[in-house]
Amino acid sequence: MTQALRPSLQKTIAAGAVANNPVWVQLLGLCPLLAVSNSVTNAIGLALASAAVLIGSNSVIALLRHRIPEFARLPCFVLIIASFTTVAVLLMQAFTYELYLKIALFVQIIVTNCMILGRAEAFASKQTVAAAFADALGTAAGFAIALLTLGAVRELIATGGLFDQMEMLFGATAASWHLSLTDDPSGMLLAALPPGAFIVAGLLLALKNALRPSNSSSPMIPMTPYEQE
Amino acid sequence: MVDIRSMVNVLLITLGSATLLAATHWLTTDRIARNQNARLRAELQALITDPKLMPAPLPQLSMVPASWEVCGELLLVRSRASGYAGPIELLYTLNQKAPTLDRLRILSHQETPGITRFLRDSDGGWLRALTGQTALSMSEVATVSGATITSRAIRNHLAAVLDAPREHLGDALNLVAGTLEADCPE
Repeated sequence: MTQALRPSLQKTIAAGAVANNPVWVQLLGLCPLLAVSNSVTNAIGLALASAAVLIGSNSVIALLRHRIPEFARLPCFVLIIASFTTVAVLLMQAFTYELYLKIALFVQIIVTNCMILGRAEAFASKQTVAAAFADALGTAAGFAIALLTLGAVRELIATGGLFDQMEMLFGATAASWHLSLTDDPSGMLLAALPPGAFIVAGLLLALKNALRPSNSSSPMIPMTPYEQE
Repeated sequence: MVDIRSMVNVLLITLGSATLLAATHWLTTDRIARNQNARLRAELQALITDPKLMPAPLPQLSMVPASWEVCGELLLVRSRASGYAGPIELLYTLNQKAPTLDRLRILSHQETPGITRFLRDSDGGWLRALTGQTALSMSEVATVSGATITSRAIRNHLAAVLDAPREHLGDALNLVAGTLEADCPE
């Protein structure tokens, strides 16, 4: 019965990215999302760092799930997540230093992102490594989709362009990727400011609900699914 | 009742995490130091155009805020202005003889992207308009439309620095003062 209920890894990934999207469906991780999503470059940077922490910590927690004592469950999860966050910080300082200087604060507080601790507690600590890896991959993809969507819309409205300062992530050749769609670079500044983040995120959430109502009959992956083995 | 086996497991997880961090730190330390030095050298090269005045060794980034006297001609200063969204890190040189701003670079800021593109362009635009200004004339430079708070913060900070007596500049800005070794012209 358990095996029959168990979704394939592909379904787990798709559910994390779409049906259980951490941002548009579960409204998790909104603080860094709203703060950093004022440009596509920042969004990609935070999405990559969050994905590395999520996938690494989910996999390790699943691997150690029989070793982590119940009484120290949460401290161990936080310790593992904090370790991967520090690794992400060091790697960004080493390989994307300029971008790190811009979004350092929000990379450092990935450790407090409830989306990551939530997946560790609800899924990774009860599943095999492969399932936890797939869940983290899907959730990371969902978070990246939300970040990139919001970042692209806000940058487009605020500056009339896209992909500004991509060289901070992809090297000097990426400087030419910047698209300027209008002659006026100032655009509608509100979109780049904090109130603009709430307004654009709210509009995108409304659009998502109009296209795919949350009470639709689409299959959802339960938050605490079926025990393994 | 907490059994010994559980405690050992927690200890092993802690040791594993520490090992991961130590390994990553070991692998990235040199590269991070190179990144910091490269950035600082690029900023200094943009500020100190005479290669003979280039300090050696480079000042430490962690010395913030700080000022360094270069060959009795320039005063290299790193200080912070209070911007719209947080501190704006400035690195600039002042002409010692005539108290004017020589050159200015913005090292980092948390201001709104897009509307603060002018902070990147040190060789032209608004930042260029600040160079050569005295404390008095600095206050008369117009702010940037759409980024009034940011530009006013930088302008007023620099005007205050230029207005402070040289011998009391360190006290006024809580600067760590030092002298840079450079190949000074005779």
